[in-house]
Amino acid sequence: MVKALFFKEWLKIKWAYWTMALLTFLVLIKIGLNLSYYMRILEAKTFWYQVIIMGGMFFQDFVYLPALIGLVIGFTQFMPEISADRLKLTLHLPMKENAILLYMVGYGTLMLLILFAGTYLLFSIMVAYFFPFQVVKAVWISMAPWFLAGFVVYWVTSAVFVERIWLKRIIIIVIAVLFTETLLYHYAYEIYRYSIGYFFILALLWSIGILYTGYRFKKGVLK
Amino acid sequence: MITRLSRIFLVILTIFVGAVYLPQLYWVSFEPRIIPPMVFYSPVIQKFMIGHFGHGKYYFTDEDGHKYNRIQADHLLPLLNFRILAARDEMPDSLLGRPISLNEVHRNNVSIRITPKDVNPPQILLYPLFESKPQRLRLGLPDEYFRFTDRMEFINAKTNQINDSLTTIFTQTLLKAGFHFPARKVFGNPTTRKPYDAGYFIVDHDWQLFHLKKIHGKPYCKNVPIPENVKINWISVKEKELREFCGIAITEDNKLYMVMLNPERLQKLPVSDYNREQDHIIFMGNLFYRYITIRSEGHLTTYLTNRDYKLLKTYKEKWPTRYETTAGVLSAFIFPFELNLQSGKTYFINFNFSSFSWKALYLNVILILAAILFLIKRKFVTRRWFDLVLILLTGIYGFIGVLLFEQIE
Repeated sequence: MVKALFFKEWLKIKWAYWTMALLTFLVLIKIGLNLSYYMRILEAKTFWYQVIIMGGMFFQDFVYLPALIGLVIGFTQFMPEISADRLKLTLHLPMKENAILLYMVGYGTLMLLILFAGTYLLFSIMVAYFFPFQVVKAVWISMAPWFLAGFVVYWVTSAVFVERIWLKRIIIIVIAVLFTETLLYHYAYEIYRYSIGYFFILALLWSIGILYTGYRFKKGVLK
Repeated sequence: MITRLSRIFLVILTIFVGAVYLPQLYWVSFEPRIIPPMVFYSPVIQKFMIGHFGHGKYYFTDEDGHKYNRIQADHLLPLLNFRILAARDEMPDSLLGRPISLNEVHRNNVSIRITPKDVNPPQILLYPLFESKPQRLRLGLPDEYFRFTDRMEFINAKTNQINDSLTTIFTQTLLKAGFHFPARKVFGNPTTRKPYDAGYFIVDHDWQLFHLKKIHGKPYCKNVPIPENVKINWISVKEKELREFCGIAITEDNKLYMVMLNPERLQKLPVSDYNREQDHIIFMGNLFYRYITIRSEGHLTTYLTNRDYKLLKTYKEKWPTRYETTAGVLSAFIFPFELNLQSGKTYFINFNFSSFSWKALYLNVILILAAILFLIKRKFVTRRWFDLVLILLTGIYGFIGVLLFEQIE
């Protein structure tokens, strides 16, 4: 049953997922080319100075990319569910309604996790080619909140699509945008070093937001 | 149960967002500009001079309250304003019975400012070691950056590989000087825009202090004597034309020391009540005096010393903080607490909660009544105690959260 549900989810996001994976890969190539360009043009020691001492973040393309990916995957996974109220059929599967919703979100989260982990791994290898471990570590900590924002945007998108009332949707979107904004500061390296744990816990609170809107969906709440 | 939990989570997230953004919005709309006074010392009248700038004003008062306009102050602070006085041909030839020259005045005017943000900022632990005596006189970036592991490793930027010969030479030199790996902290001023290079100051595993430079490609390393039980937390290295000192050291227990040169040693500053996470240090020196201002929110203390750092006089000054302005007093009634992610005191993003404002309880109680009325209207009054407690504690933020996300039956 769960396997079939996962397959259905995969069919929906398949194209978007590969597109986003390709986009990420292109961004990686772009940053890689930039790195090799600056090492040549500025000379290695000067480029290192820019990055290490001046705090030049050469990977700012990653600030909003995870959020975009979360949004696109959320859209493609949940948009079909609300057109012609298909979600009603899904919820009639012989499973608990909450369980169905959680499996759906869980599947998307898992797929995002795979994509993001792959990105982290490839990017770490690339950075480690040009810089010592100290820089790689700084990159890891600096990027963590941005990728966390990717998950938050995905969870919020899922919850917003299941909600039927536009006013409520807007309320959730406004709160989510303001929340996500607190994860996307990028004026220096490692600025979330001491707070990323708390942000992680707070971000997790969004993950079951779909149950609240799902409840309202089932009830047919009109305001 | 889990559905109810999902609603509570949404309310908590609303409270978080509210506590971050609502006070921000409030302060952006109503925060008045507060300009702290600047304290100087006049060798002419032997009194502190307090500069009041901003809000269309520009005047000085001395420690007894006498007011001076800008032109008068120029003459009372001749060392600070030597350029203006010299241009007007009004610079005195001698001061305190000692003949002075413009060059001398210029070279002896030093200032170092350290903000809480400068202390322990986010940094990548790799450092360029400059050649301190470059052949062509200009400081230039080296090809290698160093880091500390169980040795001092030099990494070539071009190849990203460890340079074994440099690594061995420097590690050996450090060991010979009595260094115990690994290093706790490394302090330097890695820029080529400075009059000379003082190299790095390194705190080893046993809290000893070492001065390390590269001279003609060879290591220069010295164990700097420090007073017993002094643990250095931070050194702000600032090379100045006047090669008497090259920075200020802050200890774990917030004491201040000048890092003196020729020979290297620490000179205690007669300063108390400094907190590196909150306060600004404004160090100023001239031909005759040193004065160190420790500035916190709403008050400052200036310590005047002679050039041997013997305390001569202190001066204290107060001014209203933003919480003492009308907007600040009012804010205490509106917001039970504020959550600042960026404090202005550090680059790091932290959950900085302001202390709980008891005055906001009035509003919180009113909001509880409003919530009850609203919920009665919607026939949602049973089992609402949790929401009401939330409003009592989080006030306006909780009220918004509870209202936006209604209870689940």
